[in-house]
Formats: sequence, structure tokens, C-alpha cells
Amino acid sequence: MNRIDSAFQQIKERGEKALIAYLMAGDPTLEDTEAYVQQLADAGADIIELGVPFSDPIADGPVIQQAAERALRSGTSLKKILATVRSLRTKTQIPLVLMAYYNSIFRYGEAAFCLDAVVAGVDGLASRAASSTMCR
Amino acid sequence: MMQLPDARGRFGAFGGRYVPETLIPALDELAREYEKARRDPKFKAELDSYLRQYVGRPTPLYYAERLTKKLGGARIYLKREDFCHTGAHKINNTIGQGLLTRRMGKQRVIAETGAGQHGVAVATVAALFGLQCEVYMGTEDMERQALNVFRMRLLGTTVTAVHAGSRTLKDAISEAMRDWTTNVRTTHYILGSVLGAHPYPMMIRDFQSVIGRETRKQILQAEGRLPDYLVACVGGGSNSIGMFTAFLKDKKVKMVGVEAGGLGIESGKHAARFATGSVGVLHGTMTYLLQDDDGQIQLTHSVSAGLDYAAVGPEHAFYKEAERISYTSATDEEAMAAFDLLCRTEGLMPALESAHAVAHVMKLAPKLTRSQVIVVNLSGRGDKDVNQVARIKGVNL
Ligand SMILES: Cc1ncc(COP(=O)(O)O)c(C=O)c1O
Repeated sequence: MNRIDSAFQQIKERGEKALIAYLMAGDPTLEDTEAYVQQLADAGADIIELGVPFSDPIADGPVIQQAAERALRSGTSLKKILATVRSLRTKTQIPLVLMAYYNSIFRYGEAAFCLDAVVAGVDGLASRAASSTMCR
Repeated sequence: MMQLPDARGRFGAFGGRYVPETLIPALDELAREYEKARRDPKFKAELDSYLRQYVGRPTPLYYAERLTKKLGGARIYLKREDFCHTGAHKINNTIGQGLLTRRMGKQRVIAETGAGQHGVAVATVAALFGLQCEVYMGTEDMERQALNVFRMRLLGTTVTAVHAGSRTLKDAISEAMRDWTTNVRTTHYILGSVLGAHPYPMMIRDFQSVIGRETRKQILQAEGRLPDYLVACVGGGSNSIGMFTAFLKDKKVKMVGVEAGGLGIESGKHAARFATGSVGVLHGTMTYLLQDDDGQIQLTHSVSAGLDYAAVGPEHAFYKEAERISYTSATDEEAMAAFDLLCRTEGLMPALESAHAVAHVMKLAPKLTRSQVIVVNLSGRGDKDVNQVARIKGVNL
């Protein structure tokens, strides 16, 4: 069973509701993100969504747009985010879901991204305006 | 020739619909209503009547004799979209979308604007049809186009400043899309160029294609033949595709789209998507963009706010790759020289956007002969740019 399904199953068995936390990856740096993920996992988050910063986030409000701007200023890229996930996987098994705008994935290459994300230990992708068949 | 776009809104590899799920029903509704309207003789009659009596169509095709003599080559005609009510071609589209808004029973319209020309055209139509109107505009553009901001307010529109990102057109579009996502039930988003998700690029092209249909008739009347070249500036690409569409099947008619070369292609400060751009997705459509290796959208620069945008309409991307339309750019400096030339030789003050098209004609015409014909789309008049021109010339008004 994948990490997301097993997380939900355990939550259900405990009769609880899931707590899903969101972080903009790389805000203010990816080292910080790595620390925050562990802290959130330790504090009881069930799933963590990692935002992939995009310059023109039409589906987000000003708070996330500003977080993305800070992340981009520190040089965050999709490639570096996947490296951070790889490093996190030596420390925590909390389910990680990437939230990305399609252009980031399109530029990376859909097939290459799907492969690299799975290998790095990403559990899911919520993409803004992608085709629904990606990474199947 | 095949009908473009296809049922999924694709122009070959380009176009489509890359938007948040919440907007899909609204896009479907719009596509449906537009399809119905297009087949409805009543809608066509209504649109034609407004275009004639309110916009002032048909606009003249003017033989620019002094400009022709001065450049000493091809005969140059100007399609006078600067005659349109509100001063630019933008109103051809906003009248159409305004009528559609009424048909959909929506009470509120929103829009983005760069140069302010589209914003003014939307504010005008909102007043005409009694619709509530909010226009988003980057603060950088509000400064460059202060006159148009005031014009919109006089027309009863709320102009909302956008402080995010580069504070120009792309940020205004993002903000308008956010508003639309929230208020989609009551609100129609009147996009201003052949951009965005399907059906916008198709619908806006159709509304603007009146330019080319008139031009074709007029040049046949004036010259007894088709032109050798059509030249138009390309921001999102609506005035250019509007002029080109009626000639696409005429293989002998060459078409040139002129992008904003800004401070020069080498400087990196420009908006010439076909010069250094690559394929990507922005604001709902797949097309040529100015972006970095990670797909982050780059900042653009142009002296003209209306050309200062990182993406080009998807249909242009298609015709670029099909090699049916060729694309070039004119720098800020070249556009300014064209602005001056047209003022002094013809007594016509072009919009700085349109001046980019004239700048290309200054290079092209002398290489051709008197027996050849160029038609340039004079997409708008330059009154809105007078403050900006004064600033550039170092004149304190
Ligand atoms: C006068 C004028 N021409 C051209 C443009 C560029 O838009 P498009 O390429 O859609 O015609 C604008 C945009 O604001 C404009 O105001």
C-alpha cells in the first residue's frame, strides 16, 4: 500500500480526522523546508503538501504568491525540491504531496518528472491545470 | 484549409485549456453561448449594427502617399483602426463580448489591461450595456497610462491596482483570473487579446477578423489586387490575427508580426517571444513564452505597455511553426522614430504599439518597388501615449 493510503487507513482506524499541512518549498530556503517538514511530522501532521514556487500563481492568493517569491529568490527549483525530498526520505516516511503549476512540470519534462518524483519518494501530485492522465 | 482551433481548442500543439477546475464550467458555458450566438442571425445583426453605428466601422484604408514617397519603395496603406471609438481596435472585441455577457444574463464584467486601451474599451461597453465593471491594472502600467486610468474611472469603472510581481499586464491577468475563479457565476471575464484558455483565442480572433475582411475588400477596390505584405504589431496578437485571418489562404500575401524589441534582443529587456522564447503554459494556454529553464516567467520590457507581455497568442505560435506568418521585432528606439515619422509625414499620431509595425515598414518598404503594396494595421491612436513620449523626450508637460 502507498504511504497516502496507509496514512488514511491508520487515521480511520484511530477514528480521527486527517491533518494536512502545507508548506511552500524553499520559503525562505530549502534547508528550512527540510527542518519544517520534520517538525510538522513530529507535531502530528498526517500528510504534508509542498508547494512548488511559480512566478505567476493564478490559482493562489497573495500570501502564497509572496511565499513563492521568497522561495524563488533563494534559488528554489523543482529539481532542488526533489533532492530535498530524497534527503527527507532518510529521516521521515510522512506522505509528501507536491503542489505544482503545470509549466514547472512541462519544462522539466512530464515523463522525467514522474520518474524522478517517484524515485525521490514523492507520494502524490496536485497540479494546477495539468492533464488528468499524468504520472499514471 | 482545416478549421482552427480543433474541438479541444488546439491550434496544432498550441492553445488548449490549462486552468483550475473551477473555471471549466464557465469556459464550457462561454463556448456554448458563443457557438449559439455565432449561428444566430439576430446576434450578427446586433453586432454589425453596433460596429457600424457605435464603433464607426468600416474604418478607412488610407493610402499614405507622403510616407510612401519618403521611404521610396512600396506603396503603403494604413488600416485606420485608430478611428475606432475609444481609439483602438480593442473595442471590436469588447462589443462582441459585451453582447455575449448580456445573452448569458451576467451583470458584472471584469478585465485586465496593459496599455489601458482594452480597459477603456471594456469600461465603455460596460457603460453602454449597463454592466458593473472592474478592471485590473499593474501599478507600473497605471503610471505609464495615467490618462487611461482616469478615462476608465470617468466611465464608471472601478480600476483596481495590482501590486504583485512585475506590476504589468501579466500580473493584471493573474488577478483578473483570481477574481473570475471566485465570482464566476455572476461575472464574465472580458479578456483583451487572443490569449487564455479556449474559447478565448478563437472568439477574440473572430471578433477582430472584421479588420481583415474590410481590408481585403478595400485593397481590392483601391489596387485591384491583394497586397504583397501585411504588417501588424503583436502583443497578445489580436489586431494582427484580426487583420491576417482573411488573407491566410492567399499564399502570395506575406504576413509579418512585429514584437516589442525593447532595448534590443541582446539586452534581454524585450518582449520578443519568438526571438528568444520557448514553449510553455501561461494563463491557461500553451504557447511561446519568455521563461527561464525552470519555467519561471521572465520579466519583459517595452516602451509600449500593450506589447509588454511574456506570452503570445497560441494561434501565432502555430502559424510561426507552420511558417505562414513571419515574426520580427522593433526596438523602443525604432518605434519612437516611427512615431515621429508618422506624426510629421502624415499628421497621424500612432499608438506606440502600432508604431512598432510602422518601424518595420520603415525597414521593409525601401527594399521593395513602387509596384508592390504594403498594408499596415494602425491598431490605435497615440493620444494615450503623449505623456510617455514627453517623458522619453525629456519634456516636462
Ligand atoms: C493600440 C494597441 N495596439 C496593439 C495592442 C497589442 O495587442 P494585440 O496584439 O492583442 O493587438 C494594444 C494592446 O493594448 C493596443 O492598445
